[in-house]
This record gives sequence, structure tokens and C-alpha cells, in this order.
Amino acid sequence: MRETAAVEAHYRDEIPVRQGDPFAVRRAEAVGEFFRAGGFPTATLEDWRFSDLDALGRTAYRRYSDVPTLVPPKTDELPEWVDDFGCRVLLSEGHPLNAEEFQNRNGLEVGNLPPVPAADEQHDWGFVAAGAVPGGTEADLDAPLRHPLEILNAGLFGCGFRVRVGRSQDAGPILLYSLRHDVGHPAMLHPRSVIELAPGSRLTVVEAHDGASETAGWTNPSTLCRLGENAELRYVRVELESGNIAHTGRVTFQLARNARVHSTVLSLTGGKSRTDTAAILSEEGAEVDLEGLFLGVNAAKADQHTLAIHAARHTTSRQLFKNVLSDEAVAVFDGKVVVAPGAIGTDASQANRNLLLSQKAAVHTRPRLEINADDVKCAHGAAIGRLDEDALFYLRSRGLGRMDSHEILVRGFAGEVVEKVPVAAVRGLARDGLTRVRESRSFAA
Amino acid sequence: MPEPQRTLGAAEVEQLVEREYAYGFVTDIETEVVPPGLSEDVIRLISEKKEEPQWLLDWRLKAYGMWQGMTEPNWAKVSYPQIDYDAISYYAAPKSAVADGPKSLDDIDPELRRTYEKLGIPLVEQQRLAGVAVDAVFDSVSVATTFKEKLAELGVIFCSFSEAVKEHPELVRKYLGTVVPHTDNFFASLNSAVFSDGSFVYVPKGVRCPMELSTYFRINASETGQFERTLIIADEGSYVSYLEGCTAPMRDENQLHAAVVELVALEDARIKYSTVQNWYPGDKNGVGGIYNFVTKRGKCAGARSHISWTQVETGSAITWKYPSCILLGDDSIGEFYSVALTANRQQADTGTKMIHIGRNTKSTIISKGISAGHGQNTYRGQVKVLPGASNARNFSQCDSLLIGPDSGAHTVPYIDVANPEAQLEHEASTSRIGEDQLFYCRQRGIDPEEAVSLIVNGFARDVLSELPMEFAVEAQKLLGVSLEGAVG
Amino acid sequence: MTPLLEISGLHVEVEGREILRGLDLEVPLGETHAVMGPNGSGKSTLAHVIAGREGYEITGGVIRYGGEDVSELEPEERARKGVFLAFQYPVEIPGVNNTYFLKAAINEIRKHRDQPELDAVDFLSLMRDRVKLLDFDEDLIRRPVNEGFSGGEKKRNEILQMTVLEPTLAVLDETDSGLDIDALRIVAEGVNRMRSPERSFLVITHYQRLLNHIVPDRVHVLQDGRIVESGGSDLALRLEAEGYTKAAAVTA
Repeated sequence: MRETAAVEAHYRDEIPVRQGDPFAVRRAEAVGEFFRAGGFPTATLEDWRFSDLDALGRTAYRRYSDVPTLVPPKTDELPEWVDDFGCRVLLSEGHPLNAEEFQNRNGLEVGNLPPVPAADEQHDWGFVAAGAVPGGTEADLDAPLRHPLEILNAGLFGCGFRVRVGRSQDAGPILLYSLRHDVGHPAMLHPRSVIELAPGSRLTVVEAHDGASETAGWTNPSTLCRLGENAELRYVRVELESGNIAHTGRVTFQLARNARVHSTVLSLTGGKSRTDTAAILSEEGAEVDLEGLFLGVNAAKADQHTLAIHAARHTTSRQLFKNVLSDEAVAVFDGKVVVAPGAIGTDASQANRNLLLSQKAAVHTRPRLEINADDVKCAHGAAIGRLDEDALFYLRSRGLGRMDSHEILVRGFAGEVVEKVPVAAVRGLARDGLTRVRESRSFAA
Repeated sequence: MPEPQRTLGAAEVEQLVEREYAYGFVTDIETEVVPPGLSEDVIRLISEKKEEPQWLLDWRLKAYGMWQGMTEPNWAKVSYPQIDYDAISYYAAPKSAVADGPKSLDDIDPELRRTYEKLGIPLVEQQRLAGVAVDAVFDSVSVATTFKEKLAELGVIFCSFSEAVKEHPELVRKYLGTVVPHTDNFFASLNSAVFSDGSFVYVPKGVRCPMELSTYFRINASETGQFERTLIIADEGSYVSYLEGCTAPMRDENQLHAAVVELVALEDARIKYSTVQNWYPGDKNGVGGIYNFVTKRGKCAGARSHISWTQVETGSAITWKYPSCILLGDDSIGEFYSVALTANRQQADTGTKMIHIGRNTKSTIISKGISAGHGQNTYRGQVKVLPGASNARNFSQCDSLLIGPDSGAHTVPYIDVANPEAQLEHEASTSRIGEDQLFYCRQRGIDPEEAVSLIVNGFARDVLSELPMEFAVEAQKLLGVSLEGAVG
Repeated sequence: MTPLLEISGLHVEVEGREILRGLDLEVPLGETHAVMGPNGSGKSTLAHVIAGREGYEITGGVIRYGGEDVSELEPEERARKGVFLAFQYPVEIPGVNNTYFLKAAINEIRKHRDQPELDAVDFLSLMRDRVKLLDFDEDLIRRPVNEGFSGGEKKRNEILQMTVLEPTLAVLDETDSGLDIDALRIVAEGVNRMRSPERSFLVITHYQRLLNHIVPDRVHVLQDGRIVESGGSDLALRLEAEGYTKAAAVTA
């Protein structure tokens, strides 16, 4: 008990104090709520079976901004692919590198979330969620916002991105890039981003989390995407962090009538990540594609949770998550489709496909359906297997080498997700990931 | 051109799925009932009544000790008021049956004989069920077993569990709790402490059991629970097909049924276990009905052994059961075929676990859930492939059929794989009885109730075809009756 | 003598939209009539409303069958009185064996007619007989109703059901759509073989092609929810040549 109290006290101390912050009290409440609801989730909880955060809670992470030994960020450290984006917002250790650069051009506003919010911005700052008390039903539209780490983020965040696309504007691709370094001290980052699309607008956006650290690190970003009527968002999330950086991220899509989202979560992490992707289809005609690809080598682990809430008639969701696992990589897919009572005409599908390339890799998959209306079309599937021996033999009989044959089939498997990514630079990153798979110890062993 | 888009309305569905329970009568018979409540004394009393050896009493008490430290599981998608385990009587038996125990078929109390006749299970060794040997369990005791002598000629042991404890203690002691240990889960531990009777089967090496073995469970007494335990052992190279059926009177109280079934298949043996579960489901407002919390598990202990579970679940207010297979032997096979129907306010959370441990093990899961009215149906299943289970295969198919806007269907598969040579496929779909299907049938002269039953049976066909012939028809009728508007 | 089917002043609404607007049609016993019309004229609505499908609201007029007002009868009651609808889009019923389905249907109809139910043996020989006539793959009758059937197989299955159930009035809703010429011929032969003084057909179609094979006694043109013209079998040829709008313009 005493220990829990000490952990809570530590996190209360980490709440950023900013002059004139209208939500200072709410932040403290959010941290309190996180601990009241049980604090860091452990594997005994159904939703956290494969991501025990107990150890995370025991590490005395501090926010970057308060780490005195902070290395000043340098732009020349950025990877080359970042240059492909004409419009980008960069954070290093949570510090804006180019904050004001892209404000308000042609109805498009791109920048950092201001350090001190206006009093009417509480939704952007996560306090709708933090204010809501746990205990609602699963079909409850705020369910994704009551995620424990979402609440903790609302209490602790000190940096982030904001994108607003004006009515009928067509924008993108935009890059939101956060880079981390080893600062010689357990450091944590709680970025919060809000992406807002006005009715009839279109946006392509890439959110990337990059960096490496020998010292333990933790990134806990929250992204909220709100789409107006008939808006269209193509969202790509790239997780590149490696080493000892743990990643627990969430992206939540709220869709108005006839809005459309195509989302890809690309896990190229070398560490351990847990990502929750949620779509709330709250008005008729909303449609969402949630896709994901994890290319796991060494001891990487990706725990992907999805949630599609069909709360209105004639809404559509399609999920496709693929995992390629080499060495001791572990993939978890926990997908959920909830059809609320009365959401007739729902069309939902969910697929999880896994390729195991190593004796020591493992997959845990749980594609779930919760259906509470009768005129619906729902299907899901999961498949786990290795490369098709016949196909391998066929390729080799045509003269291709053993490694190449394996690689062709693995690339083909991943291609279904990669080729739909709307940004060439990101497709390139996926190909680099595939090369790492080829170079992994267990490949074609 | 607009086509009218209609779904079946709540009232229409209610009319189509309103059901009358045909087996709701009560047998008026003098019954010995142990007062409600659970304690070591009650367990000693049950054990004493059954003249059990000390080791079995010790085992029960160990289980009771475990159970006291356990909490009731709450992960299933079912809701019911807290069960007061001290309000339940843990032993009830017709006095006539207990006096000398079930000796010969001619000595059965005529009242009991009539009860089973009314249930369609004549306790005589001819007539309709000529090819089936029946063990009849009434409340806490077995009242009759047919064809015992004929089976004994082949060395097949088929008797009540109590009798097996007396006549074949070495077999019972060797296998009891080896598949479902007394520590397994809340309900299994409770059963281990208080189980009263059940069936016991042993099929010797190389014997193919020539007839279906069947146990018919009947709850009669009120405010009692039924806690039977079944143990089936198929020795090397043997085969047995076993079927259980169950009914209970209509009462507005909820009664607890917490059974345990253990199957052991040795090398090259095969066990086919079928269930037609028709416990009283409660009325259309959800009052009364059986809480069916059952632990069933089979161990494919030997190489090339094979266990299939087939279940047709149409009764009970709440069903909580996951007949499972531990695929230990190399090349062993586990199968699970299930139809679960929930109408009115029934809730079912059912599925299976397939644990692949041996090499080249295979499992198949076919689950068909039908939800009508306010029925809630959840498939919950696990397929687990351990690191040593090279070349394991699983195919799972879980389909749901929804009838009416207030019904719910949920699919919760858990798939955990730690061997790259495993190949698993899981498919699931959800559909509803469409107005266009109904109209098509009606245009051919078939009335709506029959059309629904026809569509439901078609949906469940892959599972029904796994039942032994004698019971497939029975089950088909049951699915029909369950949905019929008329008095059954 | 009263016609077998007599529709007068029929108004039908679907989801608040009026589709049939005062339709009059008479089909005497023993005759084959064709109803032709462009897409959206109300052809399928007419077929469904005769068979009694729910969701089609009769706001005016009457449907008489054998002299009786059947507007309020349930679909199965009409079917048992001898009304058969060959569906434009036959429905799949997964898992329900075709033979089993038809046996259930025929015995319902026989019960209604106070005829003894057919046992499995009699029924199977009847099926075999009909299957042969229609050049049907016998394998199909053991498969679930329409499940995995091609479009043409589904349509032939409708005709097979018709020949087994022996209706008094058969309504064929666009039975020719999606059929190749060979299948069309087989279907038409099946229908022609069943034509008799004791049976009437209402053939609903968009194309004249089918009427080369099933030559009707009368042809009616349905447009905007009304019969706008009636004539002999040559009317169909004229429609084919001139198109619906022109033909309708002539009458207007």
C-alpha cells in the first residue's frame, strides 16, 4: 500500500506546472483518478494479459522537460525520410523544433499544442475523458477515452501536435514526428495530439515516434482525431522506437456522418509496444479501415488492441492486422467489434494473420465480436501459420535462392498492408523493416 | 424500385420463439433431503451415505478446503444474482431407490419408472432404445442402469459412480481427478467436495462398445443442486459413444447444476461424447431455470487417441461450460461440435479449450449459436499450441444466427501459439433469419414457425450430423420445439 | 365464368411510395398471360403482392383469386390454395436440403387439400421424375436450397419446385433474367409442359425473348403502376421493336 502511495506521489510531482493553466486542478484529479482505478495495469487484468505495466509503474520516470542534462535537439540528427515531407512538425525530447512554422495556411493549421490552453479547450486537453467516471457500458462512446493511460496522459502531458483542416480543404501529407534520445535517466514522454477535420475536408497525416535509448524510457502518446461530416482521413502511425523505450500509445477516431478513415499502424519497434486503436462510428454512413503491420525481430513485442464501436445504422468497419515474427518476437492482437443495440445495417469484418518464422516466436490473438442488433453482417478470422512449403519449393525450382524465396513470400504477405499506405516515404520504412526481418537470426533458418 | 426493408420486429419474434417446456412436471415421490447448507459435516454425511472409503472422503475434504478459498468466476458474459451456497441442499434421493440401492430393473419404484417413460426414456431393455444402454440419475442418485450384464460380457463396465467406487475402487482411484483436478476451478472444486452420483464407464483394451451408452439426468426435488460426476476411461484401442440428456421441473426458483465430466482416452482409443441439454430454461420473463455450471474435459493421453464432444444446448437459464481436450498424445485428435440456442431471457457462455501438447495433434471446433428474443449467446474458446506441439492443426468455425432485434451474439476466441509449425484458422460469421428467407418458405406453403425451425436446423446441420442417429432426430425436434409457438 | 385471377383498381405503396396506381388485370383459368414493362414500372411489386409479401401496403382495390378476395391472406395460405411465385432472386437457405424443403412444402399443401402426406419413398420417386424432365443435375436436389447454385441453377430450381408443387396459378417473376439460351429453353419447356386448362401462368418479364418460347395468350404492358395496353402475343414483338416509351405514347 505504502509503495502505491509513493508511486502516486511521484507522478503527482511530475504534473507540469504552468503559469495560468486553467486545468491545473483537473490534471491533479486525472492523476488521482488513474491511481484510484488501480494504477498501472497488471497481467491479471483481461485487457492487459500480455502487457504487464507493473514494472513501468515501479520505475521513477521523469518528464524530459525537467531533466537537467537535456541535450539540445539538433535538426541534422533527423533521418533522411523526414525530408520527404513539405509540411512537418518536429519534437525532440518533447521540445518543439519548428513550432510556429506552419500556422494557418489556406485553412490549414499545423503546429504544437500550446503550452497553456485556453479555458474552452478542455476537450482537446483530454478532460472530457478524465472527468468521466469509469463504469459505463462497453458500447459507451467514451469508452476509449476512459483507458487508464489516456487518463494519466491527460494529467501529465506537456507537449503535442495540433492539426486543423478547414471546411472542404484537401491537405497533406503532414508529418508529426517525435524523436527521443538517451538522456541517462529514466525519462517519460506524454504527448497529446488533436487532429480535427472540418466537414468535407481531407487529410493525410503520418504520426511517427522515433528514437533509441539504453536507459529505460517510456512514451505514452494520445491522439484524438475528430472528423466532421463527409471528412476523410488517411492516418499512418509509425512506431520506430527501439532499445529500452516502452511505448503505450492510443489513437481514437470519432466519425460524424459519412466520414471515412483509413488507418495503418506500422510497428517497426525494436522494443515493446502496446497500441490501442479505437474508432467510434457514431453517425450513419461512417466507415473505417483499421490496418496494422508488425515486423518483429529479436525480442520485440507488439500488443495491438482495436475497438470499433458501431453506434449508428449503416456503419462499416474493416480490420486487417498482420504480423511477421522472427527470432523471439511476440505479437498480440486483441480486436473487438461492438455493435450497439439498434445499429442495424452494420457491416464489420476483422482479420488477423500471422506468419511465424521462428521456433521461439509466439502469437496471441483474440478477435472478438459483441453483437447486440440482428440485422448486421459481421465476420472475423484469424490465421497463424508459416510460409507455404509448396510456394517456397516452386520459387526455388525456378532458380531463386532459399533466402530470396523466403523474402519474396514475406514481402508478399506484408504487401497487403504496406501497399495501401498512402505515403511513399513510409512504404520505404516498411521495406527497411522487411530487410531487418531478412537479416534476423531465425530467417530461413 | 424500393424493396421493403424489414427486419423481424420484437413482437413477431416473441411469437415465433415463445416456447413451452414439455418436461416441467414434478414427480411426487418420497425423498430424503439433507438440510440446506454446506459444511464438512454435510460432506462427511454424503460420503457416509454412500459408504465411501476414507481416501475418497479425504479427497472431498481437500476439495472443500480449496473451494472455501476460491471466488466465483465472473469473466463469463452472463449475469445472475449472487448464489447463496448455504441455501442449497447438497443431497436428495428418492427413499425407494436408496433403501437397497439400484439392484435389478424389476425392482424400480413404479413412480420412477413412470417418470422416465414420460420423459421418453423407458427403463426396459427393449423397445425404442434397444440399441442404447441407459443409466438413470434422479436427483442425487442413480436409480437404474440397463444392459449392464450384456455389456459385462465384453468387459465393459457401465454403472453408477457410487457403484464403481464400491466395485472398481482401483480404477476410480487411478483416474479420478486426473483430468479435472479437485483444484481446477470454483465449480469443479465444489463438485469434487459434494458430488453425489453420476456414471462410470470403462471400456477394456481393444473393445468396441457395441451400443450407445447413455445417462439421463433428472432434477426433481426443489431447493437442491445436482452435482454429478462422470468418469469415462477408454483403454488402448477401444471405442465408446456416450450420450447424456437432462431435464428438470418448471419452478420459479433457480437451481444449481454443477457437474464434472472427465474423459481419458489411452493409445488409439476413441470417445465420442454427446450431450442433449434440456434443463428447464426459465419462463419468458427469465424467472426460474437451471444454472448449468459444468466442467467437462477430456485427456487424449495416448498416441492417436481421439475425443469428440458434441453438444446441443437448448435448456438452462444460464449455461457456463467449455468441454475441452488436452491433446497430450502424439497424433491425437480433439473435436468440439456445438449448437447453443438461447431464447427468451436465456444466457449461454460456452465453447471449448483445445490444448495442443503432443506432436501432429489436430483439433476442430464448429460452434453454432442461435439467439432469439432476449437471448444472449457467447462463444468463448481457446486454442493453445505449446512449444513442443510441432505440426499442430486447428480449424475453428463459429457462426451466430440472430432472431430479433433484442438478441445478442458474442464471439470471444483466444488463440495462443508458440510453435511456428502450427497452422490455425479461425472463421466466424453472424447472420440473421431474414424476412426474405421466411417469405420464400411461406410462399411454398410452410408456416412461419416451421420455417424458422427449418432454417435453424439447416444452420445447425453440421453439428447435428455429428450426433448418434438415435438422438439426431430428437435434437432436431428439440430445436424445433424450442422455437415453436404452439404448446409442445 | 369468373377469371382465376382478377385484380381491380389496385393501389400499392412500398415505404410510403405509391408503386401500383390503379392496376386492373384478369387471367382466366387455363390461360397464360405476360406482363411486360420497363424497369421500375412495378412488375416485381405486382408479383410480390399477389403472393402476399409483407411490407407492400394495399391502399386501394382488390385481388381476387378463384373468386375470393385474398388480399388479407397470409403468404402460406395463398400458397396452399395453389399460388406459386417463381422468384426473381431465389433465396439461399443454408443447411436445408432441397429435397427436405420441398417435401415439407408439398405435404403442407397436400394437408390443406385433405390429401394424404407423401412418404419419403413416394416423394423421392416424384422428385427423380421431375428432375429428369428438367435436365437437372440430381446432385443439386441433395444440396441445401439454392446455396452455392449458379444464377441459372437457381432459376431452374424454381421451375423444379413448380413442377413438384403443381400450382393452379404460377407467377414467374423475371425468370428469364440471367439465363443463357440453353437454360432458357429448358425452363420454357418445363413451363410449357405444365400448361393445361386447369392452370394459369402470369409471366412477368422485361424482354420479349422468353415469349418466343412461352407463347402467351395475352400480353399486358405495365407502365407507371398501371396496365397501359393489352393485346395478343404480337404485342410483345411490337414492344421489342419500338420500345416501351413509344408503345406507351401510342396509347396515351
